[in-house]
Order: sequence, then C-alpha cells, then structure tokens
Amino acid sequence: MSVEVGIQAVAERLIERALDAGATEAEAFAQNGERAHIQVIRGRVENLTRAGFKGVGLRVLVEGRLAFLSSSDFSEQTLDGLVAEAVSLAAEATAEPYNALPEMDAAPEIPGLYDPDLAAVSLDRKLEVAKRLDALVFDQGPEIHNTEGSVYSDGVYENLILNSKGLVHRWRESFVSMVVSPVAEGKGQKQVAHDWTSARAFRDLKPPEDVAREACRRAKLLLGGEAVETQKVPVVLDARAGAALLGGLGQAINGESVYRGRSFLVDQLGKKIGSDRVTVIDDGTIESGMGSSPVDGEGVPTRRKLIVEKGVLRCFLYDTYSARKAKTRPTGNSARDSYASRPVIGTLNFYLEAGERTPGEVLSEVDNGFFVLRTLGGATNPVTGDFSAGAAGVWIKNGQLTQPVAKVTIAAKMLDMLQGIDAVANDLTLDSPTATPTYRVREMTVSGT
Amino acid sequence: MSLDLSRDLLGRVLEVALSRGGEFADIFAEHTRTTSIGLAEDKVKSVSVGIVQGLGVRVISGDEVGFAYTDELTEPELEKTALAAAASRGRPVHPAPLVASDVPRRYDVRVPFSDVAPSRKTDILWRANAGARDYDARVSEVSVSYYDQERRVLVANSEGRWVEDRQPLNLLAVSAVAVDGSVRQSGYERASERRGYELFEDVAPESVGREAAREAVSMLGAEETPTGEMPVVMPRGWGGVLLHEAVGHGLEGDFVRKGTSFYAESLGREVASPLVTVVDDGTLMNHRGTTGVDDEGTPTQRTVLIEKGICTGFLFDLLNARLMRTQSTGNGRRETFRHPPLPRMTNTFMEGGEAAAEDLVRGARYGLEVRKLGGGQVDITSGNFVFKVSEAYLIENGRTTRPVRGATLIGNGPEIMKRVDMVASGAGCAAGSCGKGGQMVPVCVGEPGLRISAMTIGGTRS
Repeated sequence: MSVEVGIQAVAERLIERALDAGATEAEAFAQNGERAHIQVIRGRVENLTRAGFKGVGLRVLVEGRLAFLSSSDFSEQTLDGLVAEAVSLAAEATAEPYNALPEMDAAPEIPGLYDPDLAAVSLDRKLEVAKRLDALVFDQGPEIHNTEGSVYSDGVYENLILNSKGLVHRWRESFVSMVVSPVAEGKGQKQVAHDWTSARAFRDLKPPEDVAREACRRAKLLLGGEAVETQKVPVVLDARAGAALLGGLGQAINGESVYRGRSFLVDQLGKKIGSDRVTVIDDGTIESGMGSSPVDGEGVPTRRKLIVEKGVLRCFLYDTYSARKAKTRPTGNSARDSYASRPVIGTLNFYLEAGERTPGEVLSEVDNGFFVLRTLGGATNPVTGDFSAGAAGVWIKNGQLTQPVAKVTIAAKMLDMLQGIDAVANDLTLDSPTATPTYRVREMTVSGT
Repeated sequence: MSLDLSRDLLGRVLEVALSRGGEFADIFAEHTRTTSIGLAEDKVKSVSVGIVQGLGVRVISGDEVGFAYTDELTEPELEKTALAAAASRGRPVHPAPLVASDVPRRYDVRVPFSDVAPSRKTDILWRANAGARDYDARVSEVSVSYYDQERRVLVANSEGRWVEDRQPLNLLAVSAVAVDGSVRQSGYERASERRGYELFEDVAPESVGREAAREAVSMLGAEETPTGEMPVVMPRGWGGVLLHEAVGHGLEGDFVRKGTSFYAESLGREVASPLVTVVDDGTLMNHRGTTGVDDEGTPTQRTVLIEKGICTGFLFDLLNARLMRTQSTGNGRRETFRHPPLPRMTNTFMEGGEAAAEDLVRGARYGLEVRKLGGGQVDITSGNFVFKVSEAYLIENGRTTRPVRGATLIGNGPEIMKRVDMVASGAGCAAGSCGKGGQMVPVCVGEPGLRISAMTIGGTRS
C-alpha cells in the first residue's frame, strides 16, 4: 500500500496557520511511509502486517511558550482545529527565553540510509526469508525443540522538517531486520535465546544461517543455568549484552538531565570517569548506520562527538533549548520517536570503541569469573549511577567456559564499572544504534544464593 | 471529530477482507484524543494535544493471520487495507450482518476532561509540584507529567459483532530528586484511573507529589543493600508487579498455545503455595486496566488464574482461544489500531489472605522489607524474572530498621510462588503500564502484602 500524501503541503499549511493564529515560531515534522512485518512459527505465517502510515507533529512557540500537536488525520478541519487549540494552549505554558527553533544549516550527505532496491523485494521473497530462518533452527541440534517465532520486518520512511525560520530538510530512510528466537529444552529447563541482523538495505542482512546458528549456540550455552553463590569476580559482557551499560550512560550524558541534576555525571565533565580503554562515541554521520540521520529531530545537522576519550568525559548531548540554557552549542541530538512525540535529547550511533584483541583472548585471561550472554530488566539508574541487572551466561574457570549460570544479578556503580573496564575486544558491529564489543570489567558483584 | 463509519461501509470492508477465504475477519477503528502537560524546574514546559485515528483489518485463516491498517478512512483506502490483510487463496466467505451489542458500563465519569479548562489542568500539576517541593528542603528537582485521554473504539467482525466503547483515561505522575551532599536519590509516584476530573478531588495532587518526595528523601540515608538469599516482604499494591512478571505473562494464551511458556502444561497443577489465589479482572470500575470490552469487542471478565495454588485458567484473545478450542476471556488488547491484538493482562492481583499486615515483618530474623518497586521483566520461557526495588528497608529481629538502596530481586516464577508463606488480608491495586511485543497497554497490579520465605537479592555488596 502506498499513501499519496503531500506531506510538504500539509507541513507548510500548518506553519502558516500557526503564525496566523499568533505563534511567533512554528515547526512541523511530517512522516509517511510503509511497513511490513512477518512473523513465522514452524512454517506458519503467524502474522503478516502490511501498512502505510503518515502523521505530523507541530511545535508552536508563542513568545517563548511551547505547545505541541500531533495527528494522523490530515483533514483540513481537524488540523485547523488542532492548530487553533495548540496556539491557545501555549498560554498555559511558562515562557522560557531558551525556547527557540534552530536556523537552517547545511546537513551532511550520509550515504546508505535508504535502500532503493527494497521496494523491488517481493512479499513472497520476504516470506521465504522468514520461513527459512525459522526452519534453520531445527537443524542446530537435538536440544532445539521449538521457536518463539522468527520475524522479518522492514520499513521505508520519508521525513520532513520545516520551520518558520526557513529551515527545511527532507530525507528518506529504510530499515530491514530479522530476529530469531529458538527454544532449547533439556536438563529440566526451557531456554530461549535471540539473535538478529539489521541493516538499512536488504542486501546487507547477514545470511539467515549465521543468525540461526548464533541464536541456537546461545540457547544451548544457557540451558540448565542455575544461580551461583554471591561473590565479587571479573565479568565479561558479550557484545550482545554489553549495551546495557551504554544505555544508562546515554541517559546520564543528556545535557538537560545534567543541568537539572538528574545525572550522576553532574560535575564530571573533563574528569576521568573510565579506564584508558574506554572511548565512547556518538555519531549520526556513519554511512548506513542504524542510528544515522543527516539532521536531528529539530533539523540541526548531526556530527561525530567523542563522549568519553580514553576514560575522560568530554561532552554532553544538547538540543537547541538545552544548549541555550547551558550556554553551549546544540550537538544535533534532538531525537523523535515518531511524528507523535515531542523531540527529546537522545543518542544516535552510540558505541564503545573496539579494542584489538579477540573475545576469546579476553575470556582466556579470567581465572574465575562470569561471562554474561544476556541481561534481563532495569539495568541502570542514571540519577544514582547504579547498575544492576538480571544476567544469564556461563561461568569461566581457568580461562575456559564451564557451567551455565542464571537467576543471578550483576551489579556495580557505573563509575566503578567504567573505571574497571580492563579489556575491550575487537568484535564491534554497528547493527544497533547502541552497541559495544565484548568487554571485561575487573570486578562486579554477582548475586545468587 | 468522530469515527464516522457506517455499518454498511464496514460490512463491505469485511466482505472484501474475506473475499479470498479465511475463517474470521475483524475491524478495529480508533479515534483517540490526548491532552498532555509537562512541568519541571517550576515551569510548565509544554502543553500538547494529539489525535490518533485509523483502522486495522485482520483476517484469520487457521493459525495464520493477515493484518493491515490505515489512517485514511475513505472507502477505497479501507478496501485496499482489507485486501492487504486478506488471505492469499481460497473461496470468498460471507460475513454475518452486523448487529450492535451493548457494552457494559465500567467507567463512572462525572466531570469529563473535555469540559475542564486548560488552566484547571495545569493547576493539577502545580499542586503536585508544590506537594513534592514543600515536603523537604533536600528535594532539588521535581518533574510532573499529566495526560487525559478519550479513546473511542469500534469493533466489527465477520460473526456480526458490532460494539463501540468510549474509554476515558488519565494520569498524574511525579518524579522527584533529593540531594544531600554527594548523594542523589529519586522517587516516583503516580495516580491513574479511568475517570474524569473528579479523580483529583479524591486523590489530592499534592499527595502524589509528597509521596514521590518522601521516597527520594527517605532513601538519601540508605546504605548498600545486602545480597544473597533471604526472606522478603512485599508491599500492598505495587508488590503485584511480582505476580505480573512471575506468573501473569506466563499464563497469557499465546505463549501457552505455542508451548513456549513455562506454565504451558500447568492447568490443574500446583504452581504456587496454597495461600496464593490470583485473579485477572478487567471489569473493576474505573481501574486503569479496565475496559467495557477488550480490543476485539469481547466483554471483559474476571478470570481466576490460580486458586489456592492450583493453576485454573489462562488469559485468551480470540485467536488463541479459537486455536485451543476455548473461549476468549476478554483479554485481547492492542496499543493502537496499528498493532494486532495480543492476549494481555488487565487488572491482575492476589486475593487477600489471613495474616495481619504487621506480622509479615515480625516473623523474620533478617530480611528485606520492600516498600516500592520499579519496573520488572520476565523471560516467560525459563520463568526467570527480575525487578528493581526503589525503596526498601532491612528487617532485623522482626523489626524494620535501616533503609537500603540498589536492590534488585531475581528469581524463577514457579519457584518463588511456592515460597509465599504469608499473605496479608485486604487488597490493594497500583496503576502501571505493561509492555509486550512492542506494545504498551495500561494495567493495574496488586496484592495485599505478602512474604516470600527466601528470594535472591542482587546488589553491589557481597
């Protein structure tokens, strides 16, 4: 299905109406696109979703007072009514001199965000890929009895940002992903594991064989996991589990949170918060990056920023409002979930820079420790800086993987974790917006029996 | 602004949906209007108004489902959507004529938010803000969020069912940060019901703010939590997160049917201590998890999931009930028209027991008394769950002593539910949101206060 809607015309009209109604500045973010989602279980198409969608979000400023509206209904009657309402609602907001929209600035050219060939991939081909992925897990050993289903999904979006200061950016992007969730059974337990591949282009997906094999390897490794005794030991976080720490760090470097004292990193700028091995980057300009975008959610060009350089905290993230408040420049980190939500500060491609050694080498140096393959729940509190998560993985003894472990938590102060990272492996893949290679933390508390 | 869709039109759309075969088709149309307001740093940061409007068409053929949605409510676009959802091969099936059904009244709204001036809404946030700031000088930052919503839904299906429901929902939430020297703690509280403005006459906004501030301030002096296995006392109300994660998700019909749930084979078997009776009830007046009908048009109901420790029921939507040859329990829910229905919890709680609330702590030599919980997560295949504790105290020699911070509870649902050794009398519910398959829905969780004889506490101390 395709939705033929002139999002530019809708956006222009909304801004015009808002200014007519008394707004001093206005900004429209409009989106349209198509999505497909296929879920297969044991050869059956459990769900096949196809849809076109559209929507618009409008921020209006009336002398520093902010209101926002969003709608998926583009009828003139609805939109005109909403604009009038939003402009009058702005009177209820507090005037803040920092509220302002950005000026037009040239955006970087980022190749690979949109796959023009995706439209030519037939539905049958997508169904075939999903079915193949789900069938492959049953070739991976007698322990694999079931799957929670395999998913293929893709989406093509057209985004438009337009404001009353003459800013206009329009760009297209696509997403393709596959996830597989085999269930292993044995030792009186059932154990699910997941693996996935995601990319901007269909041709860049990993072969289904690799994804199925990796997910099954994980399910089998985890099968039979039991709690260990509570102890402090070195912990190695696998690349698929390591992002939990970065998620918390990403919230704590939010410039607005720092300004309001809602971050454990208040007063830490320029200080050493991690070991020499910790270099963290946020970059919206990576070719084909899953978190890349030429401009951010309010049209400010994105760029590459060193957040932590060899352990030293170098920079916080700002949108236009928080940058004005903190007397600095926006970093291009205004993020929108969709047209329906007001932009807030967020990360782009946010990752821990890879080291030079293999994950095997990093593991082999551990005499007694825990190799975490999966985390469950919560993880980080950006205000207090506590990290704590449920974990499942394998115990390491004399550099070798021994028995499976589950029903334990791993915990530490985030600052102690960052300071304690004493090895970073070379297996970074940027197939998620937040990513890490495998890394080792010198000491964390593993709580069990 | 309304859902202007006639029975004739949707009848034709269902006809198209089944034009290539299939056993069942349904339409879910939605018009949701939400006003939201945010306050922080003693400023009303923004006021928002949003409309979500559209329609989803689903076609079921055996265990296969086609689904499509659109936000263009014109006849050609609806037919296109129905065709996209249609089965790929098969003879046309004719839907039954649509007949309107009554919807039980589950919300009692005296002052609809549509009649409330915006300035009276912002006043609610200012009062909550004041409640938190006035509590203690160490409260350094307060953010308040608020929304009121009216969700109009319409369900039409090929078996002739036609129902419409207007679902009110509102929420006031306060997050407070307290600082003392270099120590920083946060607290959170919310009130949410399916009612009108009168909610804030019964629940003073100041009290919501005060509670968030109290939590943040009381944890300032907390020491690191002890770790390892020990008795745990769970609080009335929010303690129900434990049930929700440890038991509820595993009893949802999709996981049960596919055999991926730990509880798939548990019907009629002992899955919890005999003190435990767990109910899901979508009919409770005005509760956040309540609706008149679910998002497939089935009236909500009270379903006993566990009775005195024995598993007695699962939660079903139409699809999974059909495939397991049983009836929907009115638990087919969806976030919006863009999401297909899934079996979900509504208001899920443990029934009261016989213990006096004060005896829960009294019997433990050493343990943890949990007062407030953050979010949790469960792996329904292994049954392992985890959740964050936001406020807790040490129990020493049968008395609550010092506050402790940073605790995470972890365990295995079936194992932990067998270790419930005391259940207090009474009941208590707390409002929350539940995520599954990328969809968030409003729910309540609840329990009367209970004790678990041994549970693993995770933290940084060893």
